[in-house]
Amino acid sequence: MTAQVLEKIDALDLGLQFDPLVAVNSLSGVRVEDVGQGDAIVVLDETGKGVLRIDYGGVQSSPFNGLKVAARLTRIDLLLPVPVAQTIMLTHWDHDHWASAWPGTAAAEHGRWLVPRQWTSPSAVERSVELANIRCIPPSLETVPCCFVAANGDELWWEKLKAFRPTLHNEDCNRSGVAFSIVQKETGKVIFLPGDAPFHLPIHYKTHASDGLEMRGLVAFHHGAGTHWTKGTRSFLKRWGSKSERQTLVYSAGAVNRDDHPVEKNYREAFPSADFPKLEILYTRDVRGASTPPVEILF
Amino acid sequence: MKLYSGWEGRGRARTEYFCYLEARSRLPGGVALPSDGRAIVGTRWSEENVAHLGFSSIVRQQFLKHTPEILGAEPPRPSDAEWRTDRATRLRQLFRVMPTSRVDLYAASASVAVGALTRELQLGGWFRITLSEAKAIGPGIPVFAMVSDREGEVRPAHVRQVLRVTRDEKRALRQAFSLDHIGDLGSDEPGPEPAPPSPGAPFPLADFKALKPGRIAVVFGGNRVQAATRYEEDIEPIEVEEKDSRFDWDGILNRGLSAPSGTPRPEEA
Repeated sequence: MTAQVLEKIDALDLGLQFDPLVAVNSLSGVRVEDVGQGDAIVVLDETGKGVLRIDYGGVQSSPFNGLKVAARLTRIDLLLPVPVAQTIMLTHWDHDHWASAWPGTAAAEHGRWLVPRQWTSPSAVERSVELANIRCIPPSLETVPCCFVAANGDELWWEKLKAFRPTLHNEDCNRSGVAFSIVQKETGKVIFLPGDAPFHLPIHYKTHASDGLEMRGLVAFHHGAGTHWTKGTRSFLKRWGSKSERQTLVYSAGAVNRDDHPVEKNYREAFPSADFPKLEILYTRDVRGASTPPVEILF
Repeated sequence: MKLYSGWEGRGRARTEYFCYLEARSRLPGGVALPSDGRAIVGTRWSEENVAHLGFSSIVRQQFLKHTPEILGAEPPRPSDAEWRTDRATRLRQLFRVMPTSRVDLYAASASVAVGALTRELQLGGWFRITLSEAKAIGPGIPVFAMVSDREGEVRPAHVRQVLRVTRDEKRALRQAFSLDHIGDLGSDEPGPEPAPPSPGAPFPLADFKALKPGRIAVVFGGNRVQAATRYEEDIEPIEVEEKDSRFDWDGILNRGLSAPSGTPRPEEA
């Protein structure tokens, strides 16, 4: 990986007063929710309280399928709570990353959505007009790594991977969406949350490498799909895997899905169990019903 | 451009869809293709790998009828908050009369269709797919579809043909299904910002064109953290502690007590 040194500009100097971690002391990690096939991740503070959400999806084998409208809204608000004015960021506009934000949910009514501008589907546009408070990442920040900072210096990084081009060319929204990571300053640990984007694309992941950070865990990109499984992906995992440290790998795939996610063979080859005895592998699908603890990656 | 021509059965109602390709994958063969546990397709439909293509769709006829009525009448685009609010209202109106649905298309790998479909259909592309109702899908049918409505109700369908949309159709679809009704963060309208941008911001975002990918990072809250750090330094200045320490030490010396070992006497210091 090429070493990267980034000059830091304060958002206030760009006229952006957005500061979703303004009342947050520190970050303790993430919880990856069971929404069936899809992503819904909540960033946790030091008390375990959710302070920001990344995606609000779930389609196939979602726990909210088959419910009448009122019961569905109640259950979504119960299992995926969104306090007033909480920021919800979207990695991209594929259905399984926003589908639980039904009209009438707290997420749709009073979440503050920050989303990538992309070419997208009719169903995504239909849902977007039901989100009361929504903004796109401005063009000037596209392809620029950005981070929200907690009081103790912990960082939530995000990066829209490609600029939006209003042409007639097709856009692969997996590769042009937003990738995230969380850094705990004190320990120098990082958690990677790439959404559906391949690991090797985000600039700030390379910066983390040159800063000498160590990986605490990751959510497998695209629910563990085999797509975009390239040399870059393999070298990323080789760089960040640790044979001696406790690390966590999460698959956010539903028990039933049309796409045969995850392709565990790829990760088994990258992290053979004999060489990575401390690697913990968690499945969001295992949380359903039983007394299984929530799927969390904590520093 | 015709990409696939399939089911020729007669007597079943046809529907033509505009379809946006959202997902592409390959499924292991020999499995039932389920939807939340309900098998819709015979378990022996294919013993081999299966190509899956997932589309977000609208009925073509409804699009052609309602879009000009509803979006065609919108004012010229000044790209301001008022225009965006108007566009969102029109889109809500449009979706009330033009419901979206999901079309999942499956092709058995033995079929010649698989190569054409998986090669030609790119993610993010728009296509015209004609479907006809099917009661059941079983062995011998190379390509079929499942149509899911907004509430998740699923119906199997035969695939009659798959076409690429024309340039004009794609332009019309892009014009309708954009995110133009959403303003940018930092724009001058109500949004997720906790407060409107201060008028005295040194570099208004719209004028700031020097953010170079790979060289710059933007930090939200960095000034706040720096200010807090400065504040902490201000309320616990090291000088105060040193002064207190010196005061105590002077007091000890004045009282004639022995200094801690290793401490130089005043005359030696």
